Amino acid sequence: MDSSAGDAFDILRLEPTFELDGKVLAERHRALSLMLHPDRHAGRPSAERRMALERAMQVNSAYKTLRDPIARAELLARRRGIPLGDAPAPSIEFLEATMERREALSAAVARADRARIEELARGGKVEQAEHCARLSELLSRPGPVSDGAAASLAALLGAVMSELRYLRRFVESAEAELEAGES
Amino acid sequence: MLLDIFDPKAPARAIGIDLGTTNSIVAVVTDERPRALITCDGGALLPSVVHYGDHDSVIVGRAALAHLEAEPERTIASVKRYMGRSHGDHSGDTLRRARLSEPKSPEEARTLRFDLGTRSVTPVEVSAEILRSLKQSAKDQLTHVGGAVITVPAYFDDAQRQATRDAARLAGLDVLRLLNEPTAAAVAYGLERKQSGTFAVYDLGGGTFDITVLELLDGVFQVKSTGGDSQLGGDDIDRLLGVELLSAQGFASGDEVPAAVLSLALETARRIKHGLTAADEVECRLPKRGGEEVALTLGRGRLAELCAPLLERTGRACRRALRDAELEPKDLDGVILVGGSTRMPAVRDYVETLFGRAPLSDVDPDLVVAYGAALSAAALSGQGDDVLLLDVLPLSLGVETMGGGVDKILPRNTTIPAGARSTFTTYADGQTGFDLHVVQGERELAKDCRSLARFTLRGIPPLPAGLARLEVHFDVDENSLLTVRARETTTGIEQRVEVRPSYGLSDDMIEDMLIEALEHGETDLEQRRRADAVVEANRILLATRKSLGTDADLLDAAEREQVERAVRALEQAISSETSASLVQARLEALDASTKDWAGRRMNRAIASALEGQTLGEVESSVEGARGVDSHVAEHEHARAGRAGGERWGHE
Repeated sequence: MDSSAGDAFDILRLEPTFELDGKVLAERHRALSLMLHPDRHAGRPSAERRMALERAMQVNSAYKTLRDPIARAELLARRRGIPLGDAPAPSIEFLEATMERREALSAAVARADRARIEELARGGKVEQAEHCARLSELLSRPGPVSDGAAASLAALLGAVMSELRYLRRFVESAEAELEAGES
Repeated sequence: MLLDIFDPKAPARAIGIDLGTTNSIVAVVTDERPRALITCDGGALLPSVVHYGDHDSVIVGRAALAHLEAEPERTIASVKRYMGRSHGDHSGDTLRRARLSEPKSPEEARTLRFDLGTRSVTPVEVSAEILRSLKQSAKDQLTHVGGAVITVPAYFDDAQRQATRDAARLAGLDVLRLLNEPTAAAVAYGLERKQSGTFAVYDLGGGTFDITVLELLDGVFQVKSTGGDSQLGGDDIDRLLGVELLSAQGFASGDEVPAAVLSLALETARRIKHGLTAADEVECRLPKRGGEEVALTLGRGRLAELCAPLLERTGRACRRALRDAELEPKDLDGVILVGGSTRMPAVRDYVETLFGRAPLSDVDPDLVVAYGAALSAAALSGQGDDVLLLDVLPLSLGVETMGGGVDKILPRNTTIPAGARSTFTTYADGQTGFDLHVVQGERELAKDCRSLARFTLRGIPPLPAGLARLEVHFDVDENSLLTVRARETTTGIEQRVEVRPSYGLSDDMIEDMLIEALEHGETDLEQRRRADAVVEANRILLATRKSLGTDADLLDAAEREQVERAVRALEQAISSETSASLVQARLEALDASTKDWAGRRMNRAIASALEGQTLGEVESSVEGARGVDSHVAEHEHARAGRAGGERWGHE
């Protein structure tokens, strides 16, 4: 895709902040789709249609990026010059908690205990929300003034994002088990 | 309305076509309301059946249906089930009436062919016959037929969509859009009721099942999720009932059943199923194996029992679609029923239990899709309500990995149009070619997904393994059709390949069929091409003049002169005896001269919409327009400042 269009915030012409009102985001996506969807350019010259198609794709992809808290955090870090680098491994405590959660899920699946699986999925979601709040807090701090400050902020952010990825995968597997249990 | 039937200068009217498994319908919008046109059968529904008679005569509709029992090999029904499918997909199917040709090569096996005895035909050609008949009916009633919106099941994959579009091309239709059937149904309901909200569309047709969850807000239909099964429908209910009848007739499963007996059993099954919509019990008599007759009584309860596993399959798809949309049944404002099979009481009861509410069915479930198609055709050609349909990709797109797995590039339910980029690298030293296998589906192994395209990128500079970088772009347009572009970027030498996935029929083969279908072959084809190019040229000229009227201020003097010169050249080409290719070339020249201008107009429109300003208030000099982006950025900066928000520097 054409990178000259800028990043997801530029494309959707939104202020680059972590806290984004879902309704505002959806509204902006609709407004831009009304301008750019290829159907709005039916019967127009083909260069215009191609351009509309390409820009509609950018708008859809930007919308998808900004709805995803991890992608949004990565984007904001990049904009602020925070070098995320390779994702650091989560803390031992977090990994232990993850293993316990996984074991609890396997046990609940073995017992076909839907209520317990649902409870575990909900728990995972609550923790996801807490991690998002943490990201929001880290990303709303004043911009780092030195390379050292940027690197330590990067480490903090990286750890939260890694944990968030683990949590997301956990919730996904719990939901997949619920889905499989229906058939 | 009578007036424009006799007016040779009547404007071309856009049509909507529901190309169904069992029946097909063509509809148009008149006085802002959709209505079905009369087909060659005298009613709205044209049975999707094609009979190939002696001397290459072709009959479509009810007359063809009359041949189904006696000549099942020369009469093709339910062709939609075979669109975009390979020989292998259906060769093991024993309850199939039509005979398949044995493919002579693996390439030929990519699309199945029906064996008519004297020759073979592809599903694309059979569908084209149905479309041709509908187009003729439309022409008889509207004089001039414009573009067409053709509906497809939301769950159709790329191959099935390509095949449908090719059938339309073969029938000489200008396809404005392939529209998903549930979305079309929602358009018909939404525009009728002027209601906002979240709806589920449960669409059980003759051969396909779709579930779509969408949100309607101020004329924008946004699909949240879609799911289904492109091989599940009323036909399957007929088959289950048919097996029941055959066993009563004395055929055990696995027995060779004569084609005529099978045909009669399936047809009787269909009648029983229809009968049980109104009655609690239906009786029938069928010939028994060996000569005697057998009398049978079937009740609604038995039919419901037979259907239960099929309905459970639809239920799983519905639950998954709701989950993908992050909704619960109680969040819905309504459930819309579409498709003839939803007339069955067993289906209605099931849907009501599943969603916990009585479904809506006040628009005829047989016509609602065609109505939606007609409304959207009118909107696309500027003749109707202002609506926008934001649809999603129904099935994930991916690339086969080294171990035979699938690397998902675009997940299902991605809003379309959508684009994604993926980078690959070589795995052997000095490797100069790279094979890519593009697949579609949700299964974990590539071999279990639908294979869309295999191609080899050549001319990669010989480098140690892992050094060459191959950038592959996947673009899905508003019709859910995929284009793949690939390039090698390591050495800065771009090696671009563009591949449209194919289901077995190439553009050249379609072209040959097109020539064959026309009486005077190539001469006719050239004339038709020129006529198409002139229609397109007139459309673009009109659009360009309109833009010159409203947005000429976005052109500098030299640019304006260039656009006007291109307009004159095109006008001259269409007013004299020139070739199709000259019209095409001038059209492209005009296109090129308006490209940058189009971008500026788009920016101005966006800026104006987002800032809530009228056009007049926006900077309107060329300089100003070029700076729309910075203007917006400045404005947002100012706004951010007012809100006390913090901004971090960026370019």
